Amino acid sequence: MDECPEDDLVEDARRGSREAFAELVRHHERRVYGLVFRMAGNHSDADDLAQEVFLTAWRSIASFRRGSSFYTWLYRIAVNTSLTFLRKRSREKDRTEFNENLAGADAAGGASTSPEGSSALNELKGRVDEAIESLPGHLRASFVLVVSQGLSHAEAARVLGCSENTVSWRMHKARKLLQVRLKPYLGEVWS
Amino acid sequence: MRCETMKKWLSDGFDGALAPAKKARLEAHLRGCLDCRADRAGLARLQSGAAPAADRSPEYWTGFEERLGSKLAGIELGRRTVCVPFSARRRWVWAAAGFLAIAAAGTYFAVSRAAGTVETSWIPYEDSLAPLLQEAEANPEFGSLVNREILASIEELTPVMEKDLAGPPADDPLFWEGLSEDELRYIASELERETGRGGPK
Repeated sequence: MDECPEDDLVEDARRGSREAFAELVRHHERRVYGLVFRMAGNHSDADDLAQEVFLTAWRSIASFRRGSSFYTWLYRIAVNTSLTFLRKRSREKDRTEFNENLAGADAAGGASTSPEGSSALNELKGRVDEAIESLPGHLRASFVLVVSQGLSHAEAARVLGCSENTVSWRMHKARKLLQVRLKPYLGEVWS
Repeated sequence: MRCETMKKWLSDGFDGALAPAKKARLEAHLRGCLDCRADRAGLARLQSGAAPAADRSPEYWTGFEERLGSKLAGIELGRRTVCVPFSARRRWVWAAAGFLAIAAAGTYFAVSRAAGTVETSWIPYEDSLAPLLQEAEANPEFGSLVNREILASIEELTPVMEKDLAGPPADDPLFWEGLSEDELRYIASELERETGRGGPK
């Protein structure tokens, strides 16, 4: 089967071809999943979010403007969907914590921050995932797009609808916050 | 202050967004700054820890596409419904049904009239009276009979008509109580005009 240029697939999808859209899904599903996974922090939510992203894209593909980049448009949907999800989850978390406090529950548990015996890369990745999850939404979106998805500042700026300079500053800020949070782990190599 | 700027440049450098001139200045700074070198090492570890998430199994993606496909099919069904709004469709259905009903009725009357089978439930008075009056003119006896019948019919109707036209009874106190001042003045003026006598002032 011939490789169909993405513009043709997009045009066919705009005309209602589900086959063309399915091909676009196959092209982008891994990257979209990677993005929403980094934003959500777990596979269960990432799965739901990735499905939602593609459903939203299908519903609104008629509004996609030809000439612009499909993946930028798709990533924008993914970022917005993720941010909406994070806000909702944050509200639910606040509500749950409030209820737990009212009930006198001991909320003092939580993850250990001890770095003892955890120098392996997998351990570091786990901690980084947790730390990324703690970043504010827009910093997290910038960090995930650039570091995890490999987008340039210019590409991330198009997705996020801001300037390259803004992305640059957000990346710097995100790194500083992550460094502070991960100091016990990142500090291992410090002299 | 200078280190803070260099740390910002470090961040840009990790993203491949640092201009060559700045890159050279950064490297020169790093050679002489222990703190910024440690920062660079920490950022490098952060970068490696933030690598893309491990890919999922091929089975997962097959299932993902199948689930998405079934959802998209549902949306497409919805789309078709939405493409032709229900109200608009209903208008067309009613319009078509109305047109068919009119066409059917028209065809029925056209065929019936052509076949002479149309039965009218009304009496064609003009057609039935014309020969009657012609005969009454020709035959005086029959004419007087018709005349009597007509007068009797008029008499039958007259009391009812008079009763209807008589108006409300003047001796009914409720009638007078229900009248307004203007109406009373009007009646008084009419009585005065008809009888030449003044009514109540």
